[in-house]
Amino acid sequence: MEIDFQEKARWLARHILPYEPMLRSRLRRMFVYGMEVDDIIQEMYARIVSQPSLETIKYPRQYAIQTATAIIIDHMRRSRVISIHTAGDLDQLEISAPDASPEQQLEFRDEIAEVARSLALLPERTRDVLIMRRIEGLSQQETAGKLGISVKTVEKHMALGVAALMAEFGRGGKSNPHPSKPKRTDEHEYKILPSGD
Amino acid sequence: MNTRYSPQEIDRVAAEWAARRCSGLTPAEALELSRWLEADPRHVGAYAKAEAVLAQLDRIGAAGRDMLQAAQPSSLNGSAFRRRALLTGSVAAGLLVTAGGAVWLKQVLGEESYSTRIGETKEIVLSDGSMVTLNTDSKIVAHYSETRRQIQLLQGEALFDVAKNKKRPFIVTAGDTQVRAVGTSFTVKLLPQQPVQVLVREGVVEIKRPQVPQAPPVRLAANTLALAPPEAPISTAPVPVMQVSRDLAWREGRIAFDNETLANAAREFERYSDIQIRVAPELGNQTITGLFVSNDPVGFAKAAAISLNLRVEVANREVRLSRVETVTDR
Repeated sequence: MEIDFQEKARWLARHILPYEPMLRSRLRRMFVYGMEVDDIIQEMYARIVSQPSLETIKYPRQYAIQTATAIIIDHMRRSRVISIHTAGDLDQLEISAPDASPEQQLEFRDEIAEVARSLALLPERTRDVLIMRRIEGLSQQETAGKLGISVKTVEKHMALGVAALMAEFGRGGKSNPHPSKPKRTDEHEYKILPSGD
Repeated sequence: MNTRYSPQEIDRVAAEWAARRCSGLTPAEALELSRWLEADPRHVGAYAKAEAVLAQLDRIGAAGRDMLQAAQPSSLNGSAFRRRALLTGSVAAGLLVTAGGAVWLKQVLGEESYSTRIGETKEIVLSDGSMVTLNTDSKIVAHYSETRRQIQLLQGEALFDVAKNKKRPFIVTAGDTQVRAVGTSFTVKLLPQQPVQVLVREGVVEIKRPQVPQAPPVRLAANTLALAPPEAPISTAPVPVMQVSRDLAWREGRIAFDNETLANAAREFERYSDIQIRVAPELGNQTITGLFVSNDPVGFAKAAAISLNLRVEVANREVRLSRVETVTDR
């Protein structure tokens, strides 16, 4: 499978990344037995980036929601375990999709705020490296020279920074001040589907 | 099943690959990367996101440069050095404004406002990581500075789950009442013709009314409700823990059932919308357990149908649940 990640990354950054917190917050309210929200999100990115052409996707937010829904349904079919929460919430996940018209795009200033907020949380050196390399567009050598560190260390900070931002962008906040999550241990919250024929 | 790496581990490896890709991959490394990607679809997803994170930084870098140029076309054009100084200083400090520029960033970051329509609830993560749940028909404006986080509740009701930060107290203003917290969870209600209500779920908050001299500040502990009527002292009363959590479940737009009969569950849903759930009489005693979305009776009926193997029909303002003989796949 040949995927041009860099070409598609711009589209993902613009059309999917900003909606990841919304999607996660909805997924968190659901209980998908044997599947974490992180798993669903990773698979969602995988499915989207594997599409031959992203430019034909007219309503990216809706598309992301549908992709996540399809992943959950596939998973439920495979495992034959269904949580009544999941089934009930599947509709909830989709419910606001039709209004995802292009003009309701998240405002770019909100995206900038999100990035600035995430950058502010990084260790200073890591943050400097990300800003110099990506926002200012300095080369690896220039960055290393300005900061008085080796090129290899620049790369290391880059990796740390990208990992931290991957966590931040999706979660919309490091701490999880989520009000009491309902337990997922309750036995009768799950029901084994009758084997279909 | 293969060894399953956690999503976080996969993200970390993906980030390393993205960083190496930025430095330029040797052919051998490129091959190694494509092998890693082929090993698991989740690797593809994680790597796609890592590249998207980099692309997002690039977009913002490009936009920042454009905005600066648009603001001061003559003086800034070609002044790469100055542009660089502005961007580094301001973004790096998170919120600071350095000499003469990057005001766009400050403006972008200074204020956030959110509202809900009637019947809508919304969960919002503020830029400090605090979470606000807005109830129906509510509006807040957040002003953040280096020393404080100020939220104005303009109308309605909101639950605040405050991220701890001793250096930046979190202050909610509703009418003439100020609620101050460091890290805690509480709701504030501002409805027409009613006193401001504060319900504390966790931690401690302090309530002040600077313009009402006869109402001295009051400290509220968890599971306490305070009422601040106009021109009168603040009154407080303890609230049973169970009631607090039930109250908050409701604020999340949920209904909880524990082995409830379908008939009762259907009746409960009628309180929250004008859609009726009609349960066939012979099914009324079947029971259901779970947490459901209160304004989504159709979703509940569908869940019940899957769970209990029933037939569900959605008509105008009505959902019918009845027995089914065969399972149909959708």
